[in-house]
Amino acid sequence: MLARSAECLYWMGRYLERTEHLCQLLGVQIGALIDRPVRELTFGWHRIYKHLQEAPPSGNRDDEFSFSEDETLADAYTLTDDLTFEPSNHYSIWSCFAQSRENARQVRHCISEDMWSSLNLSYLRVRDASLSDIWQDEPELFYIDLVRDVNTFFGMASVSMYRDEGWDFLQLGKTIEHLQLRVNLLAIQSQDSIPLPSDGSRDFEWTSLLNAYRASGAYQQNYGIDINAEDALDMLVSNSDLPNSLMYSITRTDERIRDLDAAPDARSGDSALRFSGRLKSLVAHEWPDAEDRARMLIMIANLAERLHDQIAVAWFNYRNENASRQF
Amino acid sequence: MATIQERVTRSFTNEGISFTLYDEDEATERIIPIDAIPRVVPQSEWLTIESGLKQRVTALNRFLHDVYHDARIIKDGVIPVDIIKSCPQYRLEMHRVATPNDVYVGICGSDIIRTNDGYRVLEDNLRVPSGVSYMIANRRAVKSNMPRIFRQNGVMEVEQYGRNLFETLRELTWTQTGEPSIALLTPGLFNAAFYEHVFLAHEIGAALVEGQDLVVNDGFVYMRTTAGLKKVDVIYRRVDDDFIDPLAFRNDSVLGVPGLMHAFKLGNVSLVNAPGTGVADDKSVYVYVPDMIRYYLNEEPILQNVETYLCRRTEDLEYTLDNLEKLVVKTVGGSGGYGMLIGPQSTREEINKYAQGIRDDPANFIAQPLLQLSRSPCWIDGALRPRCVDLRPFILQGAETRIVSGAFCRVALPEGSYVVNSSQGGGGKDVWVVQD
Repeated sequence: MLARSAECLYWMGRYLERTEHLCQLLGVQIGALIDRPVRELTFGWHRIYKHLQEAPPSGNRDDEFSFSEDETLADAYTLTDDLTFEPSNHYSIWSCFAQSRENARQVRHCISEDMWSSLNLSYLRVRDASLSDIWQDEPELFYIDLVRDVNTFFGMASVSMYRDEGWDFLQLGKTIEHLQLRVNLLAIQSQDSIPLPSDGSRDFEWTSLLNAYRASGAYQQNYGIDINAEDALDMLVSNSDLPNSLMYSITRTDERIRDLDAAPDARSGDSALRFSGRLKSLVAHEWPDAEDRARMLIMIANLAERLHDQIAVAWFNYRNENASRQF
Repeated sequence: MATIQERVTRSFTNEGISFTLYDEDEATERIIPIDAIPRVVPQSEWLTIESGLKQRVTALNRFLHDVYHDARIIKDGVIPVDIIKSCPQYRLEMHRVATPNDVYVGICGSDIIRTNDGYRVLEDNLRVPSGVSYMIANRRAVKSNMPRIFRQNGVMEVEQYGRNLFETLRELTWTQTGEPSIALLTPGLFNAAFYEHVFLAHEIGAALVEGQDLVVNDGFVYMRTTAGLKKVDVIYRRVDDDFIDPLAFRNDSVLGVPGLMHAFKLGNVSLVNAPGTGVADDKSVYVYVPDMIRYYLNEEPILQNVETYLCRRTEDLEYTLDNLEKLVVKTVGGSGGYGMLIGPQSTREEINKYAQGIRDDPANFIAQPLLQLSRSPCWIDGALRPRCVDLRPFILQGAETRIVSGAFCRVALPEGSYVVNSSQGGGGKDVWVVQD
């Protein structure tokens, strides 16, 4: 496969995963506007922006949001618009859709018609929408529909895409993005989490995160109904049966890299495999006994970034002097 | 009819069948307008068009081989040497460069109009002709929305175009056997015809490459794949001559591949169409195509040209300047409907300004009478309305010549317009070749 086509598929997977991730977080955040206190909403916005390493409009990354009850809705509107429709925000849902479609346009010949149509229709729907349209009714439904669109796309891919390396690169992009976004989010959550309220009520920050990751049921199954931050974090990092855990993404990423490395005539993915292996070992063996979990999450985040670099060097941006591999 | 039109238009929107328009600031992706009512061409008429086009492309290829080798046609006084020498598309780099089967133009898109005197060739597009993807997309959209009418009328198929293109490209490799490694070279995502490049790459199973994806090593061309460098046998290039190799042509090109011409001249890779084919579709040279047919094939042209005045000739220049309000004037190297004057639709001020340009550089202009293009019924604003149309069939020349029975029909959608180009508000419609 052409290296640039592989890279487009990889980034298509990444942008669509990013879209889904943002939609899940925004869906929960906007749903919380109905009845959650400002303190919790503030943390929710802070968490979203900080893990994207983006500055919110008219603020700085490290600022505390200190708006009052009266100002909350107005700011929520601005922030939601910024994260959903703002074209100059590279992390907005609109930008993610536009980027995934631009990548898809370049590899239309490598994906199925069903995949293209599914993505194009979603893109057109977001393009033709505006926050003022969706805000009047139930805005969280808009995000639920978009998550469904992304899932439909990957569902179409799973039933219609030939299982060649193009498939592997699409899935690899998805799992790497999954890993990077979630580890960044968990790192922020661990560092900046506000104390559990003394009245013993549920800890909204972790509840909302478990809801966004569709992990509440799994949590109850493993730990009961009381939300404990340490248990929630442990599950979201190391539970290999949970599709939204870091361990799950790391395992899938490692499998994809092994598949690509083992393909006939493939360029070696040894350097990438070293990083995915290191990540697996870190979470499987070092995480359970780690005393400073926030620091360990940062280590995982750094390794995930370097893993991306190794993938790019192995298959997309390698140097040309390797004439011995010509065939 | 309104329902069918709405469905056909929606299918183009949903599938993103687009082209790109440019203004000063940005590139805009536009869905190409499609009219759901097909243009019907009787098979007897089509056979005339087909044989005329085969004759024409054969002569054009003979001309290109001749002009880059012995130039007999010039020595014999059929075409003036100054027309060739002054043509910017004549490439000295192609002098005595051989091509497989002596084919320079493997893919030709000729624009045909129907006048009161029958079908005539308005121009030949021999460099990077576009539009064939819309021919197939129009057909798929119309056929799926009018299946019964389509079946009942015995419409000739166009779906085999991709297969024909693949065979043609295989015949234009030097080995001409086996499974060639084919790359389609595109300028990239922002090119007006990018949709078509992706579409065709898919149809023929080619890698869709940009210049950055190719490297020349020891006189061979390789593409960068996830498995390393892979040799390329034939490049269907959709990049203009000027930009394909910064070492041979424009040195500021970032779209091309350094050393590509060297590999081509060594016979290690085929380029389709070959560089330098533009000398045969220059509007000054167009006038001589009927003479080429007589000269190389010893036959009378089956399809006639449109009457054309070469402003480089004194008497033609005088006639043109005296009759600008009746004529259509074009630059000899122009395309896309840009830079031309439609006299009957222009103001006196516009005509005077254009006349000055002609006086300054007469050799850069040709003139033609404003032809009454044939009209075809279109569904516009809920009613049938007549609009000017042309036809762009695609001719493939490898070891043999292939034409599918269909064409991209371009439509001048604005009322009263004669300009069918997509870049200037034109649309398209399906062409049904049916038995008489």
